[in-house]
Amino acid sequence: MKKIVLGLVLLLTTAAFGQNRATTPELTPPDNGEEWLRLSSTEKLFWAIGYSQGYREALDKIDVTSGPTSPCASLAVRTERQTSTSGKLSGFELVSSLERFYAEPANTVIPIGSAIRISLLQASGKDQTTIQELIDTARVLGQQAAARPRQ
Amino acid sequence: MRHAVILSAVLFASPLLGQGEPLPPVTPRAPQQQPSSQQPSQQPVLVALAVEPIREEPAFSLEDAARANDYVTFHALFEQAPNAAYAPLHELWTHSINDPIGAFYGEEMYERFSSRYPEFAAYIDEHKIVDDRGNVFYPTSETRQFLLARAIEGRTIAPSEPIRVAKAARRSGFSLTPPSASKAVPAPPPPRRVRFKKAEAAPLPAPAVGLKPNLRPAPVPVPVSAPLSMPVQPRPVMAATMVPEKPDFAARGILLVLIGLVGIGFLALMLRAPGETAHTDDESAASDLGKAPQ
Repeated sequence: MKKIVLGLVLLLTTAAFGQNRATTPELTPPDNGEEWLRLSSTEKLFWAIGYSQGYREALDKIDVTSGPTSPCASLAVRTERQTSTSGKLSGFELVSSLERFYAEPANTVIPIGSAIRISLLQASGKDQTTIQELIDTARVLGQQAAARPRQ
Repeated sequence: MRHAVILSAVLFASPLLGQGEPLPPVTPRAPQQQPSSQQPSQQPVLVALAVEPIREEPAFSLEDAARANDYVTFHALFEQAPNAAYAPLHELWTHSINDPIGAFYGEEMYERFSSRYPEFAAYIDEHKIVDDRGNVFYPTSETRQFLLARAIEGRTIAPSEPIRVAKAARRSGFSLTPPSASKAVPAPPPPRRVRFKKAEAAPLPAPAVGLKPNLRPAPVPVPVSAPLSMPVQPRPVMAATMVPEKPDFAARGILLVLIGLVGIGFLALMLRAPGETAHTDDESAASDLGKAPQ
């Protein structure tokens, strides 16, 4: 009888702890297409808007943190600003372009940052050969990243 | 000294004993037949073997492609063999691929889907997005899941107007038995034993698993505003309908409860403390002897 009571107490304690853990909120931003496709459309849209804004904020602060004439600032002006989605794509368009990009299962390993850059290049009319090379490279990088244990 | 002599004798004897089974004789191979000069010289045949075994690719269905989020395969399969059940899904997915904001769609498409599927409006309502100007957008991804589920069910287009089905009440001048039989036997026979004449309804598909044929006469749905071109005598149409076999939940529940009770009893017996058992044994022994337990 004592054992049964002890077992029940143990069970209830475990359940109580489990409930506490389950109520802890946890949202993980997507790293690649596989994780992207698990999000709901609302989450995708909010993530896309936040991504664009964060990217723009970071670019605007590069010249502040590294100096206006530093190599970082010039690199940001030259390349990074070209791949920024801010001002070029709305959140709806970014979500749609990512949905198109990840509609090919082989692309799901590609990191989401690379996918956005490739999508932007596609939208800007870059030639298909270059795009395909970039996709192939990004797939290899994505597979390597997937093979690494996550921290 | 004696041991040393025996050991040395054994050591000397072992190579001699080892020769008991000599190696098998080696015979040279028979010389290969040279091709005769009369025969035409044959080229050596090269057989190219695959490094890996060649396996047949498993057949990929529309459902598999849709589940794998593989638009290219889905589109190719649909173009090869169009399936009416998957047509709405194909239409929506193609729109989402070709439209700049294809991840979402507006009121027009929403109206179409909600008129086709009555439960669609309730499903998609929680996923809709309203922009700053008050425009409502509906997500394609969730709609695709909905349409895939409907396609798997096999539903294509739900009717805009519900079909009215006549009630199964017996008509006054109608009997299931032939007229001669009804005269001979006043009470109608049980419906399962009745043999109907050939039904005039369309031929039914093969019964699916879990469905049992219901041989009771079922009324045929009557369209509400179907104009009758010629006067038709009211005539019963008998058709066998398929009724899904309902699992007996009550019986199963009672059985589970009984099994659970027996299990709890066994558990309680097994988990009884030894002290309690001894105590109970003492009590029972004492009661048998007519004494108080000590």
